[in-house]
Amino acid sequence: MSIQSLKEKVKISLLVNGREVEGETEPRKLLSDFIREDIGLTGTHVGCEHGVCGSCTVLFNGKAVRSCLMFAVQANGSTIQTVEGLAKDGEQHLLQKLFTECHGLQCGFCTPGILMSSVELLNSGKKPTRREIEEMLSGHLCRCTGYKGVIEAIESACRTNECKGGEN
Amino acid sequence: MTYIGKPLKRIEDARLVSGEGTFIDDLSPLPNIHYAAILRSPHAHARIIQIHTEEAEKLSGVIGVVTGKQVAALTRPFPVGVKVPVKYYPIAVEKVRFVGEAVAVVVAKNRYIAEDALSLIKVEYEALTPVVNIEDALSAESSVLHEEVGSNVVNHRIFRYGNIDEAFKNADHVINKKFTFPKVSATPVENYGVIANYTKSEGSYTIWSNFHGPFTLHSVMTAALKVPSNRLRIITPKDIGGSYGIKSGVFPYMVLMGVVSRIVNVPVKWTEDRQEHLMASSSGTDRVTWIEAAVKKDGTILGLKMKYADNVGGYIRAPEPACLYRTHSNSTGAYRIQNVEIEAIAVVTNKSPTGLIRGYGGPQHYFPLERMIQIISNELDLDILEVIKKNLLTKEEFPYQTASGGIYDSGDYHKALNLALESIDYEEFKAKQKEGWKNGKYLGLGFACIVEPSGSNMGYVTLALTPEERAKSLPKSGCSEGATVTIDPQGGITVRISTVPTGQGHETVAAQIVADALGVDPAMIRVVAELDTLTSPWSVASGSYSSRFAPIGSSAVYQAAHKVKRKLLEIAKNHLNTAMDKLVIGDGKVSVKNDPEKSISIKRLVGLAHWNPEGLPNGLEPGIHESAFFTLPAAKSPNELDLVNGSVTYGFVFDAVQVEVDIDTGEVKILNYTTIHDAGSLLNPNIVEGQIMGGLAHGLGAAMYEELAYDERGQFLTGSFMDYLCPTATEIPKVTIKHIETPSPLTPLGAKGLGEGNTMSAPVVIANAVTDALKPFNVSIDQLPLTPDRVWSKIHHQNAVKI
Amino acid sequence: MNGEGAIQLNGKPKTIFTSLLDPEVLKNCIMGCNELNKQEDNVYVADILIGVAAVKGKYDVTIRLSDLQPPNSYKLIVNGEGAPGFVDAEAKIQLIQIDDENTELRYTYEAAVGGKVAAIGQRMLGGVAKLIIKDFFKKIKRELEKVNIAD
Repeated sequence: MSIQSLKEKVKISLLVNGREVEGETEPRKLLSDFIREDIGLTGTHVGCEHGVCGSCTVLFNGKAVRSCLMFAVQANGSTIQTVEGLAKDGEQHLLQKLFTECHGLQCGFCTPGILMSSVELLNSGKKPTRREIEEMLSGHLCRCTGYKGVIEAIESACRTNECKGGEN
Repeated sequence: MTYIGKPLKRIEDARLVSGEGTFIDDLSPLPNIHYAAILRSPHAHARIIQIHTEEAEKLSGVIGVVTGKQVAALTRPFPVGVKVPVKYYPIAVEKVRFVGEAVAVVVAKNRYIAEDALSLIKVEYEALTPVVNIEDALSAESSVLHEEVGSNVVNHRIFRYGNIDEAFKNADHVINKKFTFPKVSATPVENYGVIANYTKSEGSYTIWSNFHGPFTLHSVMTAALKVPSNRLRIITPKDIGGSYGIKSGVFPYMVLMGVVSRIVNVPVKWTEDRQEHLMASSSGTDRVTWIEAAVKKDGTILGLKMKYADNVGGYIRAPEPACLYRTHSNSTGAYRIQNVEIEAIAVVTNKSPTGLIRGYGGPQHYFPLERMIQIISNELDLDILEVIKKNLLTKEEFPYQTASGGIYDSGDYHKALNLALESIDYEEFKAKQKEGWKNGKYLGLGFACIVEPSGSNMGYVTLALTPEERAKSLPKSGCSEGATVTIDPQGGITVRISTVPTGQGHETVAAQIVADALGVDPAMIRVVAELDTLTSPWSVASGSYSSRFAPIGSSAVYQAAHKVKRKLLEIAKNHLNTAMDKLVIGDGKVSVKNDPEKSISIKRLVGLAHWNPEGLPNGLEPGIHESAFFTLPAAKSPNELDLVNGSVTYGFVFDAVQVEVDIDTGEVKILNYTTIHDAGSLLNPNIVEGQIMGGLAHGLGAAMYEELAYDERGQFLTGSFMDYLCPTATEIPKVTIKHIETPSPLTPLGAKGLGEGNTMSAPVVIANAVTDALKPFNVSIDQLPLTPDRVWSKIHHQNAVKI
Repeated sequence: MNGEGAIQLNGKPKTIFTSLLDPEVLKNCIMGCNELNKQEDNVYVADILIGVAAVKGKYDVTIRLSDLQPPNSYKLIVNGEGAPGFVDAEAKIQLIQIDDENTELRYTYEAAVGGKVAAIGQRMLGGVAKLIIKDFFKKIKRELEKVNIAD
């Protein structure tokens, strides 16, 4: 198979942060690159391209996935949420507020990915223990914070969520 | 209301949690940007016979392919602070000297096509014998990397302070040991990024990169590019995804892409991927140390001899061999030892080149030193705390001049030690440990005392040269940093800093400082963190490294802010008809002390300066625009006796760590980690906690998980995060952080740098704890990381598995 | 890395030895082999596509035969170069007749791998080598059946 034939573009359409997006892409183009380059949402970051650091995590039909391990064409017809889609009507998401309060970020590069995984956790309505939060986080690499503030922010969010009856 | 010292929430967070940060890969500052991919050597040591690029050039979408010969024709080798004639270009020219060294660059319409083209390039190599091991490199028999040098030793100095011979003669015991420290990186989650453009009509380069200094490297880059300094414009993005020193090493790629852009005639963007980053970006040095201590039987350390050899990789590049000298001034750590001999050696081997990293020489230095304290106490059959206390500096001894010229500005080390002991029940632990040993449970407790230098003195790097060699060129000294504080015609306060933050929250702390100086709400202040070498207030020492923002960067902001305050008071004094010393600033206005009705708003004062400059007092310039450059006299160049104060401020970290070792699996579990911190006055306690935890996580990584591993043929083995293991949330132990503050008498805010202390302490304190736990087996930890396999092998007396 | 093994093959050493040196047979038996041609006496060049972990690529391979002692033993020296890196391997093959119909093939090999594939696929290399060898002998058996039927 020659390099040329891999380059035929495919039309895809998907819902991203509530908006219809249409694009044309090579089948081999990664979803992370498509989000950043074709849609222009640069909040999703690329740290390793082999599924370990988690910075590229987005919600794919509500599930946290590593967008660097997916092809854009696999997202055809799906609903994607990225970090840019968290705030509603100018109001920060609870997690965004808590990450700031608990000093859960420093350089901010790994943060969007961690936020998206945390949103999935919060949306699940589970009541995770600290250990469970740490295990969820073990799919994310942060080299700045030592994770302390991150864990506190997520714990706090889950507690607030409980009080609110799981709505977020 | 004051803001300094308060845990103010960070200004940076709003954009970062919304995905609105601007990192290098997010930028598209020019039209027609094309993308580069780099072909890298699969050989550790080889001659390049020929490079066939024709097939790659033919691929649709490829603009051009550039090789070393073309780059060498347009550049000079990078200057470096040693006398040996090593030629380092940003791409291999005739030889490759490490796996991953750049061999060709493809420029194409997009990154995918560029990478496709890489597989179409054929390179003929003649493989040469590699050298990988430091001790091999020291031998004259080893295969030589740089023929012009003739050996693999690229720096070698011997220093003698005090009366070493007498100290060793008077000793009751002389104890000597050998230690090694692994090659590790700090692997920021964001990799290197460069956008480079050559403007032919101006003969100038404009390069955007997530580079953070030190800006001495600007002169290194202009020398390589053969352009006057104001024809290399470097611009850093507002947001950089972590660095911990590693992104200082992006400079060769900046030059490479600049030249590539010039050759192919389009702006070029290069985004490094993780495999490249692990293989060929930068790292700390691996080191071998031979250490000898002359001790009296009561535990007093009379003298130290240390010989250490650092592996700088395939090329020695600026600022190396500073890795050897960064801790020179604090080589005796927290102890009263005035007789010291240091032999410092830098070798090249076929590994990736090194550079700045969190701790920079500190982890490598304290590993042997603090291990020795425990070894000494074991050999003398004394309690380790007794040995520490006997030698530990007391607060009356400050400011303390070390044998090698370091000047510890302030500290109360015994207070920190006692605070640590309060947090752990030492006697109870010892009893539990004894019980445990009887029952097959191996608990251990380790201590480490770390003097944490911060705010580098540019002069220390010249220790690589002999005093005679230094005398031939201009002395280097100082730790200069600049900052500008301006107020625009409508009262908008802006601060420009040149410390190039990479996550440390400089914008927030700068805003706190200016808010206090001008009596305004920090939310009103906008801080510009992007550095532009054509417009920012910068000097050679600018950038972020050696934890210099707290002692130096903040001081430059402080002084610029106070210049603005003085100007505002000068204008106000006229209007309020009062003496300067009767004026106070606060709540957005200048008023007379004890007579708040007599006031004038800052907005009005600023308006006067801009809109009605004729109304200003004599001698005052229009507008409000003040810059300040700050340095400390404590940062003098080394003298003819090789005495130098390598850093201006010195903090202190005392760690006490409890571990349990499973002797069947070799697994080490950290039960708890107590760390006592002294970084002088704390500017923002939140940021401080974050920096301490981050530094600790890096130290933990080096202690337990991380190693850039090579086989005996120089093949790189840990090329992805599946093999180079970084601590995740599940690896971080329970950490207790306590603070004491002995402000620095040298800085306006009393602050010292921090964030590297635990990177320096964690490896050795964990090694000490594990050695303590394994006392029944008579095991001495002298190598890292403490992988289960290594620990198990030590216990069961087999040779550690060689990679 | 290194390894060794033995396998029982149907046929006499002479037949097997001839098959093992036949470029057509080798092309059919080496996993991922696209092209294999005899360049000169005892030298073959091949174009092989191999994947180790996520690192898949084409290698230009030169196979040299030496120390030929037909039909009992020979040495194989393999040099492969490609975008993912390079492979330098040496293998010794011994054929021992068991009985009229069967021969035991014994092999030992030593291989050095370099470049990207070594950096990323380190943990897979041993396993991939075993897989390629196992697959090779499975296919050789089939090839030998064809030859035996023809005989």
